[in-house]
Amino acid sequence: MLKCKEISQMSSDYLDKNLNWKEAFSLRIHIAMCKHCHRFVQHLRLTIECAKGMKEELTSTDSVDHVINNMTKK
Amino acid sequence: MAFQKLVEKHHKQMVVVARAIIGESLAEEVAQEAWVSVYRALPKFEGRSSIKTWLFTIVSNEAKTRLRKESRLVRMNENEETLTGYLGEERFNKNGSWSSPPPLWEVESPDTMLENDQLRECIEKTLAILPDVQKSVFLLRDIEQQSLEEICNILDITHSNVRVLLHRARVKLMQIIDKYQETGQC
Repeated sequence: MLKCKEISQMSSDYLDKNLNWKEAFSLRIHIAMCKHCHRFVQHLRLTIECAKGMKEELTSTDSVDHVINNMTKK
Repeated sequence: MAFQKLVEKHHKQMVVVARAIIGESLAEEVAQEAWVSVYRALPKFEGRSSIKTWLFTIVSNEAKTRLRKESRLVRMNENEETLTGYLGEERFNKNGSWSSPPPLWEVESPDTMLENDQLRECIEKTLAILPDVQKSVFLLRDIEQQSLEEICNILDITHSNVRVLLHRARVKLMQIIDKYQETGQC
């Protein structure tokens, strides 16, 4: 039986489907029974979804003009 | 100009990849050098990988070459810190169960959460101060949707390192959302 501490360490691998079937199965059983770990995994998933929704902010084009200017000089 | 559009779309990510390999001070310069290589190689691009993967490979190679020239040691272990206090020993009992369980979030939908400008700002600020390699792994995986294998190749780090760095970055962002939900501040 996995412990909560282990669940907190394995949860990214679980969401990325990087666990083997036995590990994934054990984790699913655990989170079905443990509301805290269920919440932890759910929050981690929400965090990833939030970050995805912020793509615009994270990919600004601050130095694009500088690059283009540089290119035209070469 | 198509090339300009390409630069506009991918330059920031190119800098992120360069920064992860060569560090902050030379990242912008290396990314710009990479664009020169891209410009020259573009007619030969055969589409065997996605354009994004191809660009990341070029900037990654450019950064590694520069790194060798600079005879520097890359500090891939710059984020060897533990998972901060957030998932530290004090969060768990001796038997490994939660002693301080994750708090309930009032808002549990990404769309609703993102309507909050202050929270968006908190996430952005936290991401900005993550160690370079950790940030790069997170951006490449969760924002750019690159596979773990592609990230290993681009950043020249092992699969297990990618997984650990990714988890650390996600947990740090989760920690800031936790704090925001609890206190209304970053």
